[in-house]
Parts: sequence; structure tokens; C-alpha cells
Amino acid sequence: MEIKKERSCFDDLEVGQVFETDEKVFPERSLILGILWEGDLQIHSDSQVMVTHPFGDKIVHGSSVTSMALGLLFKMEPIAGTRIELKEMSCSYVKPVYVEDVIKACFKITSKQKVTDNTGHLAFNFEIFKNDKDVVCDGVIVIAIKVKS
Amino acid sequence: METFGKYFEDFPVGKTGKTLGKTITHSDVDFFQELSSWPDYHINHSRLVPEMLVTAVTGGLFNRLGVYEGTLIAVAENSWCYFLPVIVGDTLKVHYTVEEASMGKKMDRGLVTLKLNTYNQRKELVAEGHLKIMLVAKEIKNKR
Repeated sequence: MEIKKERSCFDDLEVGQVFETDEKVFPERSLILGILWEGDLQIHSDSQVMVTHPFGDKIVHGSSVTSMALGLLFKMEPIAGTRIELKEMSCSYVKPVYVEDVIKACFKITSKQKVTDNTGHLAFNFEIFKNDKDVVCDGVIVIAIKVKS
Repeated sequence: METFGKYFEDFPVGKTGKTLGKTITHSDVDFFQELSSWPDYHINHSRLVPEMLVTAVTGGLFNRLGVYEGTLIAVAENSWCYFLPVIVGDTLKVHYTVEEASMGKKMDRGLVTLKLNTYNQRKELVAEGHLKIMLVAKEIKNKR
């Protein structure tokens, strides 16, 4: 008989646990999607201007970089499949990300707090890397996640 | 360089303003999930809008004021608290306040910290963000 594994939740995660995500390439399409919501901002779409800008080329929206990194975390076991609510997100953008850069992220649980009978909060420190070396973004997130009944 | 946005000096501490609205659609969430691989969540048969999409839309609504198109050098920091769920069909509007402003040493650029409050159509505060941005100063414009 197959025993179905219970979905992971707050109780299965521990302070100090580290999650290293898969890698993901930023295709040009992701630049367009950032522009869809946040606008052009020149630094994201004007190659002529960006040649003379300190960044040297069009860059990906910072929030797209953070969103992609969080998406990679939420796909990881044992978090995948558990309802996640993002409560807080704070980050600094250290270096620009360009189209075709490969990013991955490292998340570490720094605190764990049960806030109701059904919900707990987990805080993570995170760093996002590009092309396997440079840190492009670092910060903190707090997520709400189900407590095992 | 042609610019349409406002300069560092146009953001005195205490300045406030409001944006127009944007209704979040299923397509917005579909595209966001394609970009980010975020999971799809529902509560009471309503589709939830990922919190980071709320952040992106808030930034876009603010940008639609023509505030920093062409004068933004970089976004340095981005901090958000999310208070209430946003569901597909909700309409978001943003109120902003300039909290800090400091000119750089070379007087060619400055850092501005904005508080962005995002409200739904029921005027409930759904999220609050602090955005630290680097803007071109008028000084550099006059040199061009």
C-alpha cells in the first residue's frame, strides 16, 4: 500500500536550514514582463542610452529578480505544495542583472515563530547570485506557513 | 539624454501624491507565474495575486505619474510588508510620501526614500513599501 507523504509545513522546518535553489536563465521575455507592470524606466529598454550608463546595457527589473528567486524557493521540497503567504520582503540590489544571466539563490531560515494555532512565521536571509559568482541581491523575507494540525 | 521624469530636487521630504488605479486580471497573474514560477493559490474560490506582483504593480502605478522616467539611475533598496490578500479583480491605487532625500557628494545625483501605500478598491491598506531610489539631480542636467 502506498503511504502518501503528509505535506510539509511549519513544524518540519528548522532554524539554520539552508535552501539552495536551482539555476534559472533570464530570457529576454522576462524583461518584457517586468516592463508590462513596472514600466520602461529607460534602464530596462533603451539600449542606446544604456551604452553610456554605468550599467552598460539594459538591465532586468530588480523585483523580477527577487520574484524569480522566491519562485525557485517555493518550488523546493519540502516547501513545495504548501500554501505560502509572503508577509515581508526587504532587499538591496547590489549588482545589475542582464538578459541571459543565470541566477540562483540561497535562503537560510533565521527564525521561527508560531503566531496562531494554524500558522507560523519563518524568516529567511537570502542572497541571489548570477552566473555562479556575483551576489546581485541580498535581503530578508518572512513567510506565513501552515502549522501541522 | 532626453528625460521626462522629475529630478532629485523635485522630491522634497514630506511631498505626497496619489496614483491612478489598476485592476489585476487573471492574465496578470498568468504572466507573473510564467516569469517567476510562483505557485497558484486560491481562497474561497478566488485566485490570489502573488505579493511580489502587488509590489511590481505598485511600482508601475507610481511610475505612471511620470515621476522618474529617464531620471532614475538605480533602485537601491526595496522593503515591503503585506497586510491583506489581494485577489484577481481587485483594483489597486497607491499613495506616496517622500520620507528621506539626500544629495550625493558630487551634486549630480541624490537618494530618495519613498513610502508607498497600496490600497484596494475598499480603501483597505494591502501593502506598504519603502523604495530607495537614486535620481539624477538638476545640476547634472544643466551640464548636458
